[in-house]
Amino acid sequence: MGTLVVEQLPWYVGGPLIGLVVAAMYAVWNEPLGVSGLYAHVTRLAARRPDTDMLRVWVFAGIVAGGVMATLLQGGPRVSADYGVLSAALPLLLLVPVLFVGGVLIGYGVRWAGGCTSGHGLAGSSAFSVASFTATATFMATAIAVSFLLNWLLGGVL
Amino acid sequence: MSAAGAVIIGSGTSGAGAETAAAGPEVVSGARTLPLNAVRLIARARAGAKANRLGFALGLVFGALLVLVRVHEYQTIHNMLMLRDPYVFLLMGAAVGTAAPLLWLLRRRRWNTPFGGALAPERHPVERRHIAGSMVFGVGWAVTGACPGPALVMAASGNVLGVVVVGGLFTGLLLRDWVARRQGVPEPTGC
Repeated sequence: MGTLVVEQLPWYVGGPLIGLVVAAMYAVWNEPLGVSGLYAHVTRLAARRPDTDMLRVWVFAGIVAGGVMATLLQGGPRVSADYGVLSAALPLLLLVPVLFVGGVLIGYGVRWAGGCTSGHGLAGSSAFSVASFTATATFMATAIAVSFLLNWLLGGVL
Repeated sequence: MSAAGAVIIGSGTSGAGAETAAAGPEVVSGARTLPLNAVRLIARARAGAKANRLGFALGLVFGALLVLVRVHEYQTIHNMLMLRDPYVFLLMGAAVGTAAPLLWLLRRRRWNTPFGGALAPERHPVERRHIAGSMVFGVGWAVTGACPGPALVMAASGNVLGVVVVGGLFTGLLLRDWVARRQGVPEPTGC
């Protein structure tokens, strides 16, 4: 089963395919493919709010199912708690709260900015939204700077 | 109020409950902060719940692609952010380089979307929140090596630490909504 699907698609195959999905979301529903917006509507559904957009809930469910499907095709799922070099740098007891707080920062930030790597980085940028260009440049620059800072703080192990 | 009506139809949530809730004052605030264009919602409501369920197929393809390009693994994103591997930059560039001309062509041909009326991608002027929010997100992205889509797929692929990130993500999202409500800031509208 492991060889059924390639390990990692080359960027010049994966990139255009992802671009087609972004374009399809616009072409079929006239909506940007923004994953943080999907999360937001899942919280609305949980709160039984009448302004829940069910399209976004369905796309959310589809992404989860697609992730499971591709993992199965690649011979998974392997239940793991692997986090690359971060696993080696931090004990699990510390890694879990760090990742949770990191998740909170992601959620808070994307909700504030009205989009993330997909909504601003891919969809909004493809539609030439100035706000999206700005947001993308900001989170890219911030993440690069913070990555270097963390690596330096941890003595270069990352 | 017609906007609120469109929301209820378009939402496709099990009818009666949503409509009863619509009678309450909360809907007014829901309509005021409506993140979606009412025209699109009406068009989707006309097309029926099928329009929404088709979204599952789009999500399925997107989720599978995120696994196939391995952006759901910390190491892929970390190597990009440490400027060790240009793969993700090239990937995102190729995605935008594909979607942007397609959108431009569709718009030029006045494309009428099946479930959302005339194609009109939203564009927004820059506001402070785009920069401030993206800085907070950037810190979280650097720490976890995950953004909302890949985090979801990380969890789906069986990595329990992905579930931790997704749990934090939902918490942060609700925290921001709570802070925004206290400050009287309207909910963000798309991207």
